[in-house]
Amino acid sequence: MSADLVVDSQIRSWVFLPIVVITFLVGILRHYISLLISGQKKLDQNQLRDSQILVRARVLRENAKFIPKAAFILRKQAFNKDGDGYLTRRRPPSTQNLMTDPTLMTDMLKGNLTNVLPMIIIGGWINWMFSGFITTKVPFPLTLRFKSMLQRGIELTHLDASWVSSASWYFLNVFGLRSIYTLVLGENNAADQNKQMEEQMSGAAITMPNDANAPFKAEWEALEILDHHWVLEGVEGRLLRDNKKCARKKWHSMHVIVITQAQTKRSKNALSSV
Amino acid sequence: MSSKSRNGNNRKVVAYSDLAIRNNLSVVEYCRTSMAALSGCTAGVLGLTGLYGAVFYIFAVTSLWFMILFKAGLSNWKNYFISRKALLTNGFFGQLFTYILCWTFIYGMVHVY
Repeated sequence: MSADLVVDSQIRSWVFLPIVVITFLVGILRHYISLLISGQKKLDQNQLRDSQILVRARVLRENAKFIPKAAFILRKQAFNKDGDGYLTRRRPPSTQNLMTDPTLMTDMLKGNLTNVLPMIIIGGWINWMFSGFITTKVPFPLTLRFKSMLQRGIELTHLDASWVSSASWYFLNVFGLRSIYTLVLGENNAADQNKQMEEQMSGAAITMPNDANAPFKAEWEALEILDHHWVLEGVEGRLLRDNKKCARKKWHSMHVIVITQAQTKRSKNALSSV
Repeated sequence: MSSKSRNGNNRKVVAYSDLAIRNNLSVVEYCRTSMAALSGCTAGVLGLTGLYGAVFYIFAVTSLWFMILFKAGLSNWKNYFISRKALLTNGFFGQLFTYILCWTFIYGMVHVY
């Protein structure tokens, strides 16, 4: 179905393409501005140490089967000793209240500023400047309910709902160009709003006031109940048993290596005593 | 795909190299975005509308999945990815918007103007 409406080609060059270009460039601009505005995040040494302790405890738990029992118990004691272990040390409850903590507040403000505000401003400008005519036809059929949303400013009741105005073309651009920013700017770019919003939501959930001890308690419990089982137990027997044919040869070769090591040790001792 | 994930001792325990998995997934994401853009342009040029366009997107995603599996080697894809199904359905909706954008754009350029 080709054009059932003939659209002026001037719309194409002065509306259609410029909106794409504007959205793309504004996104890139936003990325660089947010890089400039957000300073270096100051790392608190205590916080970093605590989070690394948690990571280390988890690594110990996951790989406990590779170390002998004595080594594991030694490490477990270092973590779980009453009153002085890494995990059981008393920590002052950190008041990470969202409203009173200044650094979090400014981060949130900056995030909001650099992401939502340009979108609103430019959306409003485009709506004001390019209003009153249709911009393009979306290739899929839309129901009539969308008409009021997508055809702001055009009051034709008979017009197919697929013909949309420039504001809706702008929003389609904003959403569609998000993944292209990942291509162009590399990972972790500030033009990706979705990640920003996710970060905001997860940041608000992480700040638990007065309960900073909870993850440590959880790790302590997990270490306590861990059932240690060394996988390398009796591994020499397994090795020798499975390779019965070469076992004798291996044993002889090991014998030879041990003898030569002893000889070199003796010769070293002889040299040093001279 | 350049990096490989390491398999541990092959009884039941398999150790995956985290860096390799992440690298592979980011490469797949890159491919997927380019695929969404290109298939959107193709759909626009072909003049597909409505349901045909949706079917074409699903067809493109599936064919990309096949190509990735083919490149990883049909028998040892396990060395590179953890699960095939996640590979298929991971970025579906994220790239859908890119597809629709390119589709609308090229459709508008070619058929409306």
